[in-house]
Amino acid sequence: MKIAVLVKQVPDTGEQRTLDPITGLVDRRGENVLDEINERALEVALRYKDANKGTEVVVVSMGPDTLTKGLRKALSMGADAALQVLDDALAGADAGRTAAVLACAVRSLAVDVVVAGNESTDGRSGVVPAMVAEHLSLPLLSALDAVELSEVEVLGQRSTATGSLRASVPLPAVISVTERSAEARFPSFKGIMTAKRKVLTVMSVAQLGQLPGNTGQTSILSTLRSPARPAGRRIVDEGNAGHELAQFLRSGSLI
Amino acid sequence: MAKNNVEYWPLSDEQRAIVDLCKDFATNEIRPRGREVDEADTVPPVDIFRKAAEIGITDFMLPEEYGGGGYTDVFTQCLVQEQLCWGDPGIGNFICANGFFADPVLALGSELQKKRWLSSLTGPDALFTSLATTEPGSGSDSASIVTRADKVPGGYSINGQKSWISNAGLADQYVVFAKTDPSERSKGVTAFLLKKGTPGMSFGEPMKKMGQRAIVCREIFFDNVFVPEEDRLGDEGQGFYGLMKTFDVSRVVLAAAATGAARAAYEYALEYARTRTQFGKPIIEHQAVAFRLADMATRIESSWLMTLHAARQLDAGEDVNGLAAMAKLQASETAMFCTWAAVQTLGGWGYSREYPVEQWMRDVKLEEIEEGTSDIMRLVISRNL
Ligand SMILES: Cc1cc2nc3c(=O)[nH]c(=O)nc-3n(C[C@H](O)[C@H](O)[C@H](O)COP(=O)(O)OP(=O)(O)OC[C@H]3O[C@@H](n4cnc5c(N)ncnc54)[C@H](O)[C@@H]3O)c2cc1C
Repeated sequence: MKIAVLVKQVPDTGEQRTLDPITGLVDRRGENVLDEINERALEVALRYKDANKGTEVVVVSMGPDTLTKGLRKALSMGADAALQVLDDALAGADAGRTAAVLACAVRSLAVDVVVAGNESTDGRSGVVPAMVAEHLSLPLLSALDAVELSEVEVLGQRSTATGSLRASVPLPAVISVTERSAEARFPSFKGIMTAKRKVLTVMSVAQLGQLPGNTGQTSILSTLRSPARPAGRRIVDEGNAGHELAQFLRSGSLI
Repeated sequence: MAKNNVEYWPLSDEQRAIVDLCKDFATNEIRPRGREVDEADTVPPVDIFRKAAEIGITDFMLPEEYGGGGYTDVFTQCLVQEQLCWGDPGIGNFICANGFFADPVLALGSELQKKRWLSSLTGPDALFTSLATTEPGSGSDSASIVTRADKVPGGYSINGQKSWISNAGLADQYVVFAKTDPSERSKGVTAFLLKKGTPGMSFGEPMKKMGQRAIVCREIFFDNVFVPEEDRLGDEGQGFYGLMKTFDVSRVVLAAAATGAARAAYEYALEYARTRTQFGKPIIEHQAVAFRLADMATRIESSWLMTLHAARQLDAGEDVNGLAAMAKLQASETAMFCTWAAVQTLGGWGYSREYPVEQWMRDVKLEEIEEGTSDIMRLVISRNL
């Protein structure tokens, strides 16, 4: 089995994140790290690999040269190889173009499963996995909290407003996971050493071949600062706080 | 602490990845457990050690040929120790304690001994270890030990008592220093390798400690304990030399540990000073508070530079006896100052067990005592002048 895991680097979630008010894009100037949701996606692949020798896991990403650090981390966690699409022409690429490039890169690898995070912690558009699936004409099983992978199919569980849904698709397929999915492992010291010797392939857009045409282009018309959150409602206990609290939670469909 | 990307000394990509890994581990696995381990008093967090062993933190400093990570340079050990002890001083020291056992084995051991006694410290099932020199009547003056190893057919018979031995009882393997020639001081000291369960060897109750409670210390009693000849580490009379070699390395690593703890206290105090308001402004805007933070930052910077400098000299094969003592003195006293200053900065909340700084203040006091007190560091430094 060959698994591709889509990863990207994002500004550290521990730091303050800001939008550039002029371009409307996330300010990525600070230290970028491998997106945690991608580490979980990688964990799905690595668990399968742990249990099934001969599995090959390739991390695929598009991004600037500083991305090497994140890819090496993925390799030190246990991925077998990395493929990075690096091209000045891709600077500022939106979700559509990113998906087109990633789909092209994944196609060149001929994999059985593509695993992605359901949405990145920076852009948070959450559309890339679906677009990649569309470009590759593969079924998509998205926003999975739990994944069971086998030779022939992937079975996943997704939360819904009222409960959970279990669904399966035959392979090959694209899946995306949520932050409820398996917690990612730490890289290991041995992994860090062997990561040096693993293959990290860098390709330009031209080397990828024909990109799917007419992917459209996002244009940002205006940006808005989100309004300050109003103070929450305070429930004073006059003997009926439990009741009030339950009612409040129910009115918001929280219970 | 420098804000830009000019590092103290250039790190390789690998070392940077190691620092990131240790920072993650310290943040997610160590820091959240600090208080619980402190309150438990005498329960070593074996589960954290196991988790650390799985990813190679407990054996990274051991040579590859025995199954270790192969990062035998003291510089990398310092990078790791600083991060882990930022998480919690006691837990950080606990999970890297096997390096302390390995040092004399590497310095004095035969190839066979290294294989036998170090391979068992590698991999996910790594054993625990202790190093025993201190006795009730012999601390700073370690050449004055009275535990004896008398020659008997096929080996030695050990009689005596050790005190303050970290991980004693929990540990499966011990390096024990004893006199093969009681008429001599340092020249009479010999090192021996022992396994737990050797007949005649027993342990006292956990000693009640001020801090660093992740590491439980006990006394060890030796009552005619037979050690075969093959488990003598180095030649007779070489033990003290081995111990001193151990100290040059372990004092530098201890300096890194102390620097990490100092940084933790500083960062905690800085954040608090920025958010706590008194007299209508954040307390950091009161100069007395800001200046104390300035002193903390300055002393941490200088400790870290001295520590890494000593590590690099050591790795280059230089004699660092004086320099290691300087780094240890500077870093441990910095950690004591910074944790004291953090408690002061947090005021009454600093004194509360709801915040970690009072615990760190108790924890780091040990760094001014173990592996040679500050007085002994000054003695070593002055002898190297
Ligand atoms: C938590 C903990 C863990 C420990 N773990 C271990 C371990 O794993 N293995 C081990 O072997 N030991 C261990 N020790 C022992 C430790 O190394 C000794 O406590 C230390 O060396 C000091 O010895 P002492 O306590 O006997 O103090 P003493 O030597 O009695 O010192 C008392 C005071 O006198 C001062 N002093 C002594 N001599 C001089 C001098 N010549 N000049 C100036 N001042 C002097 C000292 O600085 C100190 O202030 C541990 C101790 C502690 C507290």
